[in-house]
Amino acid sequence: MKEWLNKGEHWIWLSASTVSISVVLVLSLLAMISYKGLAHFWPHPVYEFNISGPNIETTRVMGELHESKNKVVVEKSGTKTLIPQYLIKMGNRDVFGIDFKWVSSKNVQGKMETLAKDAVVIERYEYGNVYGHFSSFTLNGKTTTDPKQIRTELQAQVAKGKALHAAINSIEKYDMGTVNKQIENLRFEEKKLRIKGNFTPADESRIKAERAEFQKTFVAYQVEVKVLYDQKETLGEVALTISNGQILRVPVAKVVQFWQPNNMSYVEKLGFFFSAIGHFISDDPREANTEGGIFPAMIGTIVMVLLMTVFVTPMGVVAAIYMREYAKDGVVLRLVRISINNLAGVPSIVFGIFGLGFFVYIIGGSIDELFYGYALPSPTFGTPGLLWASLTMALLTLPVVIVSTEEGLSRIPMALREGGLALGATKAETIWKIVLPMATPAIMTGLILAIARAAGEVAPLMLVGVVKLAPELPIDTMAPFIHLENKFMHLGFHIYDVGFQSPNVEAAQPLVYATSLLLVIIIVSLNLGAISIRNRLREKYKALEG
Amino acid sequence: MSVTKMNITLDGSNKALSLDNDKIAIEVKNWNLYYGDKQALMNVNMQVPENRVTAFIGPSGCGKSTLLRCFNRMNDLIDIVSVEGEMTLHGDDMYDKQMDVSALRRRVGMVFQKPNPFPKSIYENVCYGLRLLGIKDKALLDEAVEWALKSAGLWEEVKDRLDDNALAMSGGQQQRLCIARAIAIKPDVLLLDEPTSALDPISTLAIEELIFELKKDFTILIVTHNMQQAARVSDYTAFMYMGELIEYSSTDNLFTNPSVKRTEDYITGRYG
Amino acid sequence: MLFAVPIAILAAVFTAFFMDKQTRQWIKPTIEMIEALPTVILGFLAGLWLAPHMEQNLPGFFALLIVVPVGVIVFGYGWTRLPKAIRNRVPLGKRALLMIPVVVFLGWFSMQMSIPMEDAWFNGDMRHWLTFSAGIDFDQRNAMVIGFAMGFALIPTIFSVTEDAIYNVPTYLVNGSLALGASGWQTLIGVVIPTASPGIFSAVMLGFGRGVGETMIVLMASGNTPLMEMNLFEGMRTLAANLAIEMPEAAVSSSHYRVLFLAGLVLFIFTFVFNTLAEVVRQRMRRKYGSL
Repeated sequence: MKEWLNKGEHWIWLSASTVSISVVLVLSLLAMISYKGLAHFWPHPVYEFNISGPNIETTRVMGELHESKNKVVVEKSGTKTLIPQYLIKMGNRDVFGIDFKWVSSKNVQGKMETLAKDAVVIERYEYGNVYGHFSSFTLNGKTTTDPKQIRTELQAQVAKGKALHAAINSIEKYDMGTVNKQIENLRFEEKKLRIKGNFTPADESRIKAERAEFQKTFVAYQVEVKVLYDQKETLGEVALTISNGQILRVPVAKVVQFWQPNNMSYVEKLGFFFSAIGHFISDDPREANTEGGIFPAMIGTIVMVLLMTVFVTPMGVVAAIYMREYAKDGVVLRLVRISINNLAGVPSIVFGIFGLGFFVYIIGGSIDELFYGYALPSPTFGTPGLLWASLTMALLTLPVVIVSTEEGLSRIPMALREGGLALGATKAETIWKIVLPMATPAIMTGLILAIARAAGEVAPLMLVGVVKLAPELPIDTMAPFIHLENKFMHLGFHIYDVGFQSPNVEAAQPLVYATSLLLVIIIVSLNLGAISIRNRLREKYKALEG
Repeated sequence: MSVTKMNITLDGSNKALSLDNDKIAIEVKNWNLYYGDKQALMNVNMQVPENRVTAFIGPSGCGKSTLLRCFNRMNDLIDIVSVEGEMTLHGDDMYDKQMDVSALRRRVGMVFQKPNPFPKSIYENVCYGLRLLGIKDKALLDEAVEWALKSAGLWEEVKDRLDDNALAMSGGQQQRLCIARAIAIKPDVLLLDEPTSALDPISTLAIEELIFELKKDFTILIVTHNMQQAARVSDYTAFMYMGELIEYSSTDNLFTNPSVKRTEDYITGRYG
Repeated sequence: MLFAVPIAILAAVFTAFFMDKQTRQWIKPTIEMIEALPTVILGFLAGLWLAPHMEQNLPGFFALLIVVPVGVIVFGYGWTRLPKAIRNRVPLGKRALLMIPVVVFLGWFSMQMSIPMEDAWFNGDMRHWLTFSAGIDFDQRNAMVIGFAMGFALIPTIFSVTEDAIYNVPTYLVNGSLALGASGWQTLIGVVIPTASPGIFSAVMLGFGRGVGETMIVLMASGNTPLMEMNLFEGMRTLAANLAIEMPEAAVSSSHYRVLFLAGLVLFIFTFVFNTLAEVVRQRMRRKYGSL
């Protein structure tokens, strides 16, 4: 044994185990995120059972099992027992006031795992889910009580409700939004003219006329929406018996969707699972971001990242070409290299501060004064926004792009350049026509890595443009289509915000896991893409060398 | 030395090699080595005499370095290598299960083609092996270092700068330092794998003189590409070709009167 | 965070020095994958998942620090006692794979020990015991949680640079040492690590630089207590997290705003020094071993 220790064998074992620890950590982390994230979409079974309270009275509980853990209770005799505790998602927040409830197995009467047959879960636009049994369905004064019939009718009505909801949304968001914007523009025009001092009565009357015109359209839209709302109200109403025996009436207008998890077959569940994923990706968030989808956050992330790519590509590539092809090796170049490496190591929050101080307040402020003076004091570009966020991110990811482009350039054999030059091409032509095309895979790798980094970075964005809930998407159908000055939502910030700043953390957790999963998938696949491109690139040049 | 009476013929199948007046240090019987499926050494049989210089010559890829590395089991480091046969060092089975590889390597030192001093001081380089043995006594170390450097003919050149980084020395000095490092732990056998191929002629000469001195204390096996070198420094020479030991006899005999056609072709420069 | 440095370096050592090519090919990207994981996710997990678990199984986490190394060594020693036929099935290079179930088991074992240990030594509730018997305040989101999470985030940075440094140590140096009768580990300590030491040093520097500037993990997993004492179990706040919280609230050109900018500057200089140091060391190393 002593000899064994002397030889350092135990260190080899320890180091081997550290490798496994790291691998286990990574894999279990990914597994946990995937499991918890995907579980969010799976229709969980609904349990129903009685629990006894502190006195004799019994309460009926119905809901999804959310989490269970063991609590140790030491009795006076010294013996210990483990008592399972269950966290039940009961829903019906408007009735009970809370979504979740801890239940001790000691108080459960009978078996815990009693599935409530025919239980219905209704997802609502407000107040979360409802758990209960169908009681009746009222439409135009007619009432049905047969559960089967309720189901079919409800299905039809919910589909109608959805269509109406979409129609209302589109009018409110786009048509009325456009008119609002036009009215706003008129106001600015008037203000501009006034500042210049040539606000003539003719202008005044013209603007007035136009404004009246817009207001008329606006009112027309309002009427249209009102009609739709009224239609929505007449969709009927479903009544459910909930766990405490009370009858809860839910107007169809408030229903997002409903399902009967305990009656679903495996295939149906799978179908539900995928449709839930679809909703998650394409819907707007509701209830302070804790429910619904993450569509705007995704769009915000994508637009920001794309804009960043537009900024960072030319900067990075040109810098790399200069450093590799033109600059003379010397102290200056070495200093530049050191500072680029340093740039890569500077904490992202420092970039955030720089972005806020320099881009937003100094450049943005000046732009406002020069071009948007009429809108002051409310700032246009002098406030955190998409443009500044993507510029800051471009700065942050610049070293990544430079380093990988340089690496790509250095792999290209000198002979190819000499071949180009020998044919009489200028240096610039050689670089443009021969060197750059061959370096594209390397540039791509750099860009992908940059994108992955930008997609995951949150801290600087908090300072330069991300918000919890952006009223408008940064891109839409109104000219100029991309609104650089708008604030936007971001997946990473969404995680932070929902996970830590929301009023109902417990309820939001699955959603956070799901969002994390999406983000991880995006980033990991981008990275894998970068790795495979790099490998292919290596193969290609191996052939060149051989 | 008395090598005149040696009369050895080897065709790969004969068993014993009578080395008159010399004790046997290493004995190899029916030795085969495989790289995965490829056989690199075929049925090698030989005896290496003690306190003599034995040279291995042959064209590139003939297996001479591979065979040399078998003598201190450096081939163990390559996963796909497997061996069969018997190899003994002073009667001890070198490939015995109980044999401690580290202990074996302490008995069989090795110097490589390219000088490979550790990036440490000259002093630390020489006493690296001693420290591995757990020797901490400063006086003992000093003594050993001086002895090793003197034996390697390096003492006069470096005695004033023992604490300098070994990488600052010239290539020839570095190689002699590596020899000093190898002999500091007093092995029985010293393996030299083309020790001069990376050096200039003057350094080469110094090393060759050193080898001549060292054989008093050590059994030396040397792999070389340079036939003149083999002729100059060795007492016995083995010619290898395509993984086989073609001919093994006293150096004089092999170079003046080769018994196998292929050996003759090689030493007269017809191929290789 | 201290736990990350040894893990990362040892892991790198093993991967670069002992592991065979095939295993290395997929182990390395797997570990480096963490680098790509957004820290906001790590922060979220640390705050919402790790913190409560750690609170519950506090003795288990401490046991982990002892049980895993001891268990690994015992397992390793037991392994040498096994018949050769079994031993030969797992070559040195694949040992890390062999260790995966062992490590998982040891981790699970320490967690299981948590409750009995609490009963035996801490009257059934370590947290309670800490507060009342040892006089240490305990917050759920504390410096230790951050340490774990941050360490996790830093492992790939340190790992990947160290691994490269060790992998690039020329083989003939290794052979030289082995030929002198050194065992694998002795070679590593005597020759490989000293040669690679500048690389390892710069890896650690880079790791520190990243740790100092890391914002989201601290923001999410810490208790955000602006005042702190030297107590592992209390909340804390770092410069970077402070910036992220207070910056949006500070009015432009106010003194608060300027102080925060100053803090940003300090942070910048801090990491700048670390990074430049790492870079200079690396360049010097390149010159020194250029002849190798």
